[in-house]
Amino acid sequence: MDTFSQLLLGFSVALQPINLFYCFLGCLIGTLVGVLPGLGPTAAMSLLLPATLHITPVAAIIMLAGIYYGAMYGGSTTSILVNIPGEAASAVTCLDGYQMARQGKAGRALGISAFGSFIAGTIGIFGMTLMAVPLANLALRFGPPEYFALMCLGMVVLTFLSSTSMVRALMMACFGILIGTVGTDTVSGTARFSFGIIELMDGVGLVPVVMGLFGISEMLLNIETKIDRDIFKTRVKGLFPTVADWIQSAGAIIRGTVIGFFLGILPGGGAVLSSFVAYAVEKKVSKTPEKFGTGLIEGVAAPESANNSAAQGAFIPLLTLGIPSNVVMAMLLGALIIHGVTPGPLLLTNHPQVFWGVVGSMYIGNVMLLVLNLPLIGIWVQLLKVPYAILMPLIIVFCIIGSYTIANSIMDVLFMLIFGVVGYLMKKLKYEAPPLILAFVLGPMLEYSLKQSLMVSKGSFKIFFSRPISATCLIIALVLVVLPIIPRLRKKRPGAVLPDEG
Amino acid sequence: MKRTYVIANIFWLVLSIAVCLESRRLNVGGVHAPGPGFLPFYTAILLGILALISLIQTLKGPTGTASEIWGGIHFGKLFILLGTLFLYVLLFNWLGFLLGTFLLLLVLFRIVEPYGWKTILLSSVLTIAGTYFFFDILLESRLPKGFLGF
Repeated sequence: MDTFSQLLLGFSVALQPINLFYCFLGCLIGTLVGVLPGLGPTAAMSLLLPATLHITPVAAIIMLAGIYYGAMYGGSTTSILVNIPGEAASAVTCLDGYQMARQGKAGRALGISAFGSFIAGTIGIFGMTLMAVPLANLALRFGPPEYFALMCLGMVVLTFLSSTSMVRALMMACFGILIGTVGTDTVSGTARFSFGIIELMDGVGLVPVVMGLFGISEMLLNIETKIDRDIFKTRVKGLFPTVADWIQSAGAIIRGTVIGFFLGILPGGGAVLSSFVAYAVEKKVSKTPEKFGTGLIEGVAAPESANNSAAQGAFIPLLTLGIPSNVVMAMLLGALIIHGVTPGPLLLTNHPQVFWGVVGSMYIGNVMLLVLNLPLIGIWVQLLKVPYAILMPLIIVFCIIGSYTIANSIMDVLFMLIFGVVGYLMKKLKYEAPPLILAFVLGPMLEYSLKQSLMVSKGSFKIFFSRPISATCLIIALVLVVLPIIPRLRKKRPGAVLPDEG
Repeated sequence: MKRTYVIANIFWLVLSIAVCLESRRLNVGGVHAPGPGFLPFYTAILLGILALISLIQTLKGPTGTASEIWGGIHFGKLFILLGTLFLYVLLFNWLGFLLGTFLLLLVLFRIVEPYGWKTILLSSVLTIAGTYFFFDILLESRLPKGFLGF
């Protein structure tokens, strides 16, 4: 079946009323989550994951995917109007977006952000459509050593890009792998680190861990300080950019799209990194770099385009290789497995309706988001006025119910609270959660690939270096681990200002 | 601040030693036949090495002050919130979802911002009703009933 026919299959799945509904719901919730500071797409997806157990895998993934790329749209609203990023990938939009709002150009900033996101998202999905089949065919040649090496590379890249110490980020990755070993070993059937607790025999669930680390810990942090929201008071008008705005932003949108798409594919990459790199590149190529930060429209167009195309690009390694490139994709991987769908090169042959249905829904979702983000801007602004003191208890209750309803067990809520305290301490001591989550999700697959590789090679580690793809991945990973040790290069590590994804 | 990080690194060291010991009990195996303790054992060793490196970096680094981490925190609010949440977990099955969560919300709305009791009661009732309708009735999540039968 050629790509065009498969895409038509995808649209036939995505346009089913039930899938259309869940696409809309995902986009709506994603926008809401993006608009409201304090709750990122990862926490929102973990909150809704138990609810998706009642629906089909296709609908579930369509909705969860919608939350992710929807949050990229919504995050810009609060960045521009309130100077607080709704989610991390919109942090850099604050720099010029809020200044534009102060100059009475809030509407044009919001408009170019929405249109830029739409164009970048569409191109990103198109790129995904073209690359999926060749990449899946390449992945069929992957064996256990390649998977092991690629997963190692993904974890190392994420730690390399951490905003603080790479040593501490690697420690978190190790900790994540160890948490992932709790439960019954699938090969030997031995119970590991469960200490007789029945609820731990199946391991620690993904949802309590993520909700605890991202949701509950955030609530604990927020109770310490009062978040002051200075909402821009003038009425937002004139949402359509002028011709001059389009001429000024066209280059930024194209460059942001390309940068975002390719960084989204890379293991360890994602929307956050893409938005920062796109902004930096735009400043570099600009004839007036000194004006960045004073309200330049390119300063909004570039990062917003980048984060949307990155959100689309990130799906490629997840769906074709079965390897998540960032924390949010790790969540989606967990969701796919819970629904009995194994992502990877065989997904296109065994479950084409899942893959192409998700791709089809992304085209539709992108259009929905343009509608949601422009005409409904007034509603989002009103939402920003809801006191955080009202939202916080609601979020806590949703987290509790979300954890409980996975297996109707209060132990999952207890684990969530424990990880909430752990997450709070991690944030206070500047230990990063994303490497922990990625390692936690990848850990079981990493162990399986490692054991298979060693069994095939009869215990020889040479197998990882005798195969070109795995050798390349491992050498790059090794270089990235060693690089920070070199003092001259330590200062140039790009991760210094990257906040958490999700 | 330095003392806090030293304690943290010692914690990671102790954890890595504990995991190594437990992994040996589980059987580490060898490269020809990795046992169930293989990955945890070597991961814990790596964690221990990284913790040592971090400890050395901490001891060589600037001292800082504890207030940089713990300064300005409402410890009272924090402990009340945590205590309430853990107590909620303990009593959840006995009180049931409706009563237990209602009491939890009363505390949460009160400690985050001291609203008046009318606002707190109204917000709690609306939240309970909404979440019960959405999760128990729409999604059929079967939230537990307590000793009062609801």
